[in-house]
Amino acid sequence: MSTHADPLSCLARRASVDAPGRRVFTRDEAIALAERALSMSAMQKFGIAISHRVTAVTKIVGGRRIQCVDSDQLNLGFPSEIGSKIQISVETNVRDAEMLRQVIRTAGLHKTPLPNAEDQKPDDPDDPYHSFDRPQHYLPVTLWHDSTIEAMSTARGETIANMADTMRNGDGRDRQLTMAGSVAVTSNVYLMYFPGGRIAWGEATDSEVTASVRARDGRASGWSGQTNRDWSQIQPERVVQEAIDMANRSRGPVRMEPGRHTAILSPVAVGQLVRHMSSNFAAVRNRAGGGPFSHVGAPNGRNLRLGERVFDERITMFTDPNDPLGGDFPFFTDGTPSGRQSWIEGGVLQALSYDPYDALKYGKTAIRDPESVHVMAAPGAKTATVAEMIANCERGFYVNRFSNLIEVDQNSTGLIGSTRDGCFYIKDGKINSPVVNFRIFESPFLMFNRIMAVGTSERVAFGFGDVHGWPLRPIIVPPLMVRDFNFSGMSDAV
Amino acid sequence: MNSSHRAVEHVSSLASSIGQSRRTFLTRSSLALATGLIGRSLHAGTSPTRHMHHVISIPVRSRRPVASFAPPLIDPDHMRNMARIAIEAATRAGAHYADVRIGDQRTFVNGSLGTTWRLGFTHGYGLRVQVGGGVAFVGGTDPTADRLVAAAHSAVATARGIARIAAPLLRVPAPVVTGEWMTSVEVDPFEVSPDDHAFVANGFGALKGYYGRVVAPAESCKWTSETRVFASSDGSLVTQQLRRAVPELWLDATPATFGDRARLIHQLSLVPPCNAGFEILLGTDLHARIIEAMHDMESWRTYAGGSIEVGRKEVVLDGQAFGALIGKTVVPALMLNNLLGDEQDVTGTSFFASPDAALGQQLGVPQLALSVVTGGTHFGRMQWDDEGIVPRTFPLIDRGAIVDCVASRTDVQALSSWYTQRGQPVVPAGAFSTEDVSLVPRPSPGALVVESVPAGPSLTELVKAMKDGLLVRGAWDVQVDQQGAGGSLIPQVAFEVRDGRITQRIDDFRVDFSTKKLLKELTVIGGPMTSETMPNPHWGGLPLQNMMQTMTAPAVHIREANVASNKMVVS
Repeated sequence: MSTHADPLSCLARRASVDAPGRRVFTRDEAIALAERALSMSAMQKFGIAISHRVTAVTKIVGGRRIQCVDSDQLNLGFPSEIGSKIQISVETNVRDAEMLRQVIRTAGLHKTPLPNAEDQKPDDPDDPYHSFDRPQHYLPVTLWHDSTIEAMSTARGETIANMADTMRNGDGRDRQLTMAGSVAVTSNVYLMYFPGGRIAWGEATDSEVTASVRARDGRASGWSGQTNRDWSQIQPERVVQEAIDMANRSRGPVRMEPGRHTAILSPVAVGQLVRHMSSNFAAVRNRAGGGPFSHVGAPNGRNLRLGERVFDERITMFTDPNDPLGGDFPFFTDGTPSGRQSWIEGGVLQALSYDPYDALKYGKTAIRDPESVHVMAAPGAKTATVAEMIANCERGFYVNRFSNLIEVDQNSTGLIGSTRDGCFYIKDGKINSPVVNFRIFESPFLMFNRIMAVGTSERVAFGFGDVHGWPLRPIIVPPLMVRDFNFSGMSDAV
Repeated sequence: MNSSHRAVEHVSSLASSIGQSRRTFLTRSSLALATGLIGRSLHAGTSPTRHMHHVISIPVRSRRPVASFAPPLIDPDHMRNMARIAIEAATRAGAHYADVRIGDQRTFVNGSLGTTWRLGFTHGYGLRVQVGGGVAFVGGTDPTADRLVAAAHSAVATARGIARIAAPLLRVPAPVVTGEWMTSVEVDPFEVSPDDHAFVANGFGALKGYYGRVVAPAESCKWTSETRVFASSDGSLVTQQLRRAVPELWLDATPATFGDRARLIHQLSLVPPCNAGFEILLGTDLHARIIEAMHDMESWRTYAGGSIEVGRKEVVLDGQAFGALIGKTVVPALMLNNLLGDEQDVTGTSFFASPDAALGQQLGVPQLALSVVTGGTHFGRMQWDDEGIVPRTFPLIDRGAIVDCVASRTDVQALSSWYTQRGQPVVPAGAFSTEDVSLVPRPSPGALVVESVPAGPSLTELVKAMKDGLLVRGAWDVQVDQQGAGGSLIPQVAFEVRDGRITQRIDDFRVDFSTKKLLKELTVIGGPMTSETMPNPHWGGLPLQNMMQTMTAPAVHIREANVASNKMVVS
């Protein structure tokens, strides 16, 4: 068993989380590691995927209990092909050369071909599964910000202290509020490397600050958050102040009758609904008749609603890896390129998603699903601020955020959940009172057909409680005013 | 007879019982190669892998034991040495307290019908230090001496920095513990060959042909073998060889098309997650019990699928459904870190405002009892938790009232007046752990049990006593709000019951509930035969981690609950 020290000197420099500067691999370092690992294996058509992520998270609870968590995670994977359709993968996190050699040897990857491999066919150069050995072209993207890298060592001390000060100042003399806040900063890189063929490289930074403020009697709460790949755009004190304001305004909620009402949804609330839409853009699902864009039994034989108006004409949705408000790696996990894609234009369905396997099967171009998406007012459509939406609302509710949405109706993406951290009754164009939280039962696909007003889009923070981890792929959405939003019942939670 | 021989003996016996030769099984099995896990983890958004692991796919066919493809790479002596280095570096740098976990974990997952295999192992560390009131945690992979020393220096510097503004943090003393411990297993799954794993898995799949219906058991199991070293600046140093099994056994009736509401899927509780070995799949009566469940499943399909009027109705929840509900509401509400607001900006808080508001409160009928259990083959069993505390079985709810919470060494002081009042020492119960040593440990009891009533009714008797209501079998999901104060239970299968008889199967309905009210409406708790043990994965902590635990619960009768439709009405 190995006890060797790390021979890769490039990593020794990054041992300390407090050392300023980049701590994840550069492109050259990643390729050097890839070639070193590949040299240990004699597998035919061997490629390697390397991902490296460094994250610093700081959490403050009750204003003074603080915990910091730092993680440095490296992953090496060896996808390869034998004949067609058979893949072998090895993942490892070791950087030590001797341990790496041991892993590869143990897995039998030093032999070619593997014994007893079934379905092994002679190579067919026309087989589309052999695309890995062809170079690809990728959309240039800018997802890296040095300000975020610097913040990995500076943000926690100063930022947390400032957040705590803002909380103390905003709490008032009677200290009726308590805060929990989190500051997270990360950088990550990814390399998919097939020698002489596909080389996909991406590097990105991201950051998020959230604050949850609750009344000490447990009867009011507020929340706010900001996220940006560029730390310099984050305003932590403003996050805390907004959460304090929301909590203070949520005191003394009244019970209101559930039902279908006009709703003004904050960008966060809209983002939480939109996040559940992405898998329903899969072409395969809709072809099978199980999606919102299926057109089963259409007289013209078409079974997809491409080219039809499916949302309000004021809605446009697209994914752009180079979106200045978010962006994403311009490729699938296997390095298949994926560029800018329009999903909805003026309410009309433009495209559905295909993963590389389905794209080959149906003769389409592979398109990543809109898990990262930008929803905005269609060009030329009038936008409104939240204040304007409220002013134009005779009766309705403002929703800051939802809690734990899950899908219960597959065909319509019907979601259940509850409101939280700020829900207010609007009457005659003004916020009238905070309300006891509601349960909701709503479909974002149906909701986008009941639009009354659209705001200006922003990237939303989701906080750190999502089961998909952090950070989530960017969701950029506007606030919305929606008719007949289904507040299905009362919630006991605060 | 070694592990592999036992497995071979059993599968040969199994093959002959279903009229096939072992060779036929092996010929039919297609051990497809594992697909890469990299794909799941990659993009600029989410963290590339929540659990750093070596994942190795194995050749299509092999008679070699699984361990030959993924042997332990790290010697326990080396791990102990690394732990000592980390603690020494941290204390020299100025830590007032430090503890470290170093883990070498192997996992093996066989998919349904032996067609998909994953082998992997996590090789990492998690170092936690405290300076004054500041706490810093550094976690990573590939723990070398240099890396651990650097992590210690970094963590102490961070903790010292935040100590300037952090409140004092009291950590209750704990006994110094040393030694080694190992989970007891009869058949080490890593000493079984892939062929024999596939043979057993295919044995379940072959029941489809045996029964002659379109009801296909799908089985997979995640086996974990881990060496974990814990050390602390108090002087503790322990090594544990942990073995865990998380099997999943599902019945799937009717061919599936998207939106086909006649499709029934039901997870069986016959083999729950546990700390045990391959022997759990070798039970001689297991196939008979599966066939019995398949028979029940087929009878469910014969009921017409329909709807009922929404509104308040009496409900019987089977053990799976009640356990899922309790596991997502009451259990998180009694985690002390939730009660104190530590998670309020992550997963949420508790539907009790504070520990004082919870302790002593009557939640339900006097027969209601919920306990954290340890020992035997209960899931998550360890000799020492990830704070070096020896775990113990203890009640959370006794005679319908809340009597305890799950605490750690740093927050158990919040329970001091309650413990003192009851003559208990102010110490945590040893339920603090993590499944990945590179992540922060958190309150996470491995196994919880809601007690059945010794002479309580069977499920059949509970149904017969219903006048007009809903019978819920299993739970697809339980949606809860941020406090667990209420939510919705989505059944796997549900039936309308009138005058004690099932009249139709109900599709697309859910049970909306308010947790406290539902427990007050609980009128009857079922007998031992109604108890089922199911996995209850839960999320929490920062970074967020998914942890497994089991919930054992009996069937119950609820006087009234709100039944709602899952079908969207287009307005």
